[in-house]
Amino acid sequence: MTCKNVEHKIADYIESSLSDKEKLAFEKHLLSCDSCKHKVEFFEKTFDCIENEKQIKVNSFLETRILAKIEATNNNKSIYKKVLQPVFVAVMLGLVVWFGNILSDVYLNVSTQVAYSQDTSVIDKTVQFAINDITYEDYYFINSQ
Amino acid sequence: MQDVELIEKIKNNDNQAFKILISKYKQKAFTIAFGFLHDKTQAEDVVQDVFIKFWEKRNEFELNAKFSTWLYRVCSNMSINVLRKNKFSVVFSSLKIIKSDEKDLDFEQQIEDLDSKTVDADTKDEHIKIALKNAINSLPKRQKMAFVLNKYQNFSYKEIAEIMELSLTSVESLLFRAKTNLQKKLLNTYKSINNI
Ligand SMILES: [Zn+2]
Repeated sequence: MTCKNVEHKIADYIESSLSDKEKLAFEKHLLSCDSCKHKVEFFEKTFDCIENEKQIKVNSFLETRILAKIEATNNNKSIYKKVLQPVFVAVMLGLVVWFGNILSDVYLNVSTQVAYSQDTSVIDKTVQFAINDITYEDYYFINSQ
Repeated sequence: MQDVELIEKIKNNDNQAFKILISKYKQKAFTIAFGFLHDKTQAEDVVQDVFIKFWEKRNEFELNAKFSTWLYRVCSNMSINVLRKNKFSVVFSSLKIIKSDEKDLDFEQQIEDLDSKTVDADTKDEHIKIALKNAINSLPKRQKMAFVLNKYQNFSYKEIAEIMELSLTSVESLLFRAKTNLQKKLLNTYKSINNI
């Protein structure tokens, strides 16, 4: 067996899947070739590494950790439902009311001004001076009297 | 208790049954994830995520489906996704280091360069671990999955075929190619460590 043949068969040798005849020839080559012997040792150590890694134990509290994580996620969801969601709804309602107020103010203001400028007959009957000289407050004051 | 009974209870929100199911499978799932990731924390995170995923989707899980097959499949796929993210972050950090005139190097080559630098710096036992990790990581996705399931869990070709949803012949071929590629990769690593 040549060095090249050995290189091709290293994995099979490690996995013990060579035929008896091939195994014998493989090992005979190793006796006379240090270079191949070192290569095989390197492969053996690498495959031993898999065996060592297989012995590593998982965290014995993993189930507790997983259940705690699920619990925490559920709590976060229920905190949102119980506390944050009502707060959010209240804030949104507040905003709607506040915005509604602003809108109605604007509407009142505009409609008052429209009435103020259009319905001059009322003003004509009540007051005799020019329309430009009375203020918004004057108009209400005059009308309320 | 059989998996089917446990799953039925889990579907009724039975935490205790879920705990039993995790205890039964956590070590096997962990060893598989470790075969891909070679890192305890990352492997445990994958196992945790797989079980949380199962809990969230428990009502969609069909009782006639085999839980273990599902678990090993999802565990492998999630580990491969983590590997992809790791690879991206390695490439990203190496991109920061390389000079602008080296930007055309392909990503694989950059990882190889980074690997050989790591190998130079570490002790001999670490060489072996890194060589193994790099060799497995260098395999294409399906070869890697077949190899890890076979070597880290000693699953038979038939079991691997079920988990990977492939034919027996495909699994045989994947494992043969995985072995050949690993052999090549390890020989190259051996030669580069020993300057042959
Ligand atoms: Zn030789």
